[in-house]
Amino acid sequence: MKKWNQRVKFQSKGFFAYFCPQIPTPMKKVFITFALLLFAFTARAQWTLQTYAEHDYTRTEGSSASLALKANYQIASFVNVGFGYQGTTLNRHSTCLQGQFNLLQAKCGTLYFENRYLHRLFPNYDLQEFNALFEFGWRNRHFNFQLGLTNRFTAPIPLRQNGGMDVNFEPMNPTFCIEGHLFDQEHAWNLGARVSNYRDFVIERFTLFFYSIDGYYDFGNGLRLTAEAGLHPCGVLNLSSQYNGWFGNVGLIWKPKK
Amino acid sequence: MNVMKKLHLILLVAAAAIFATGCNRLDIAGMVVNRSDTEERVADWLDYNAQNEPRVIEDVPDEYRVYSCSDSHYSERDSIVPQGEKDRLYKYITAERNDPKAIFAIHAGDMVNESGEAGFKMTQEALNYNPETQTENDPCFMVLGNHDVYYDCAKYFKQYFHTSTYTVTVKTVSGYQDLFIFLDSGNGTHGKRQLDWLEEQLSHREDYRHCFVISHNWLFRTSYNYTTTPAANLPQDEQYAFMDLMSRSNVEMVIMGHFHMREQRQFGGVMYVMTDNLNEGRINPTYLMVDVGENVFFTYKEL
Repeated sequence: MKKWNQRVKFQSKGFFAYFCPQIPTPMKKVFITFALLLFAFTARAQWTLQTYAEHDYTRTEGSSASLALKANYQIASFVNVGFGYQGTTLNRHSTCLQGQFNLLQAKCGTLYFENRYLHRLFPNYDLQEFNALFEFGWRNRHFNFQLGLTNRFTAPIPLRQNGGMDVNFEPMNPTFCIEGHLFDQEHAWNLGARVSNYRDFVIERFTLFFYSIDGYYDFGNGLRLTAEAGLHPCGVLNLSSQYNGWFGNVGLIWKPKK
Repeated sequence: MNVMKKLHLILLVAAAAIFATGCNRLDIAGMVVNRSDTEERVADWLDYNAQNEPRVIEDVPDEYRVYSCSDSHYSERDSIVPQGEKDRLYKYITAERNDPKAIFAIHAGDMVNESGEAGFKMTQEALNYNPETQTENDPCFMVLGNHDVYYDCAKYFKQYFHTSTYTVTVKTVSGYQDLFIFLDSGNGTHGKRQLDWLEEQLSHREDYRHCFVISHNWLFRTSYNYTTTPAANLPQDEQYAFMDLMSRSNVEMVIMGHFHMREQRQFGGVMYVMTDNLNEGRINPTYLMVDVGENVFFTYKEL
């Protein structure tokens, strides 16, 4: 008994006493509990990798192609984090970092919170934008609704051009997404439709919508073929909309089985 | 009645209510129906320009003044109609025509707020020269706003004001030239044809002392007035292309309307300025006075 106590004491001194001696003992217990939980979740964690090739067309900019890569890491059943990159033939580069946290799980669906940071680089225009998106969502087997706000900084490249006077801030722009699918996500294939003012690598203003249809087919072994096509009109909430452009993509999602 | 039937009924009533309230004023169907396409309109405007002499104002002093307003929103339905000397658009144009330094006025779009010809006719009547109260017969140059294309009303704009994509060149007595470029952004885009035309105009930028661009659709989201949330901007990528063109071409100032509030933003050496609405709920409307000389200054003045 004495020996065991001594060993615990030694470990405690070894780590906490050296790195953060000021932390009181109850805090150490809380820290250890959370650390153990984190390791337990990590042991159950699962990667999802996604890639898609996209063709975009807008009347003002013409055609462009892009390649997107996304990695998603599910830390626990209620937390996942992701990272993504998209490069286009128009010399645009978008990088996103996101986290999704399930707040409430019930029979009728799941209430969740999503936080996304998106950086877009437009070297041809010497311009960059940074978006921070905060959204609440609710999803069930067939539907997904999201509503939130985004803050946007637009700045020249380099940032301090014109003495930093040109940084443009647009706070609290509303974002939304309404999405429906025929079957739940476990089904072998699916078809759905979506209206929103953002996509993986672009967050538009509240007044500009993306209308899209999408689907997937499961090959088995965790491999899924995805496709999406959509329209991007302009002037929708000006009540004077017109055709502006379209996009279509085909991709793969790979979720390694444990 | 089960839940789904009740839900369908509520949705049906809500949709009917939205369309009914939109009747004759807000073109709700315009969210999905394209009444008038920017590319076709710009082709019309450029045809008109080709058949008519370029707009040039000559023998102007080296230092002069230009006025700008927007969003007068005439509407019989809302009782926003010309009221003689009390009328805000009339007061605005009278102030300009009685200012000895001013050479012309600008209306940056949204002159009507209902379907039909009446709003355009009222606008033209308010802008008619009145020698009893106005000293000079200065012109007022117009651009098309989104309300001006509702219910396919762009044809009335064409009938009364002829073009929304054009330039005005000001030649001063000392030989300076200043360029004012007017654009159509009624559908929340400038469109490919118009942007190509704009680029062509700006390729001669070095021939001019100053350059100004006037369009209706404000470029930025604003944080100070959430009633403006539904007012649309250009698509993000087009906005950046436009801003890049403005900066590369050393445009001094971009004058806009649309959001019913005043705002100024500076980006890439360009000053973007928005004027508030003359009518439709505005208690103390203002207009913009731009003093052009060796440098450019602007100030808002209460009507």
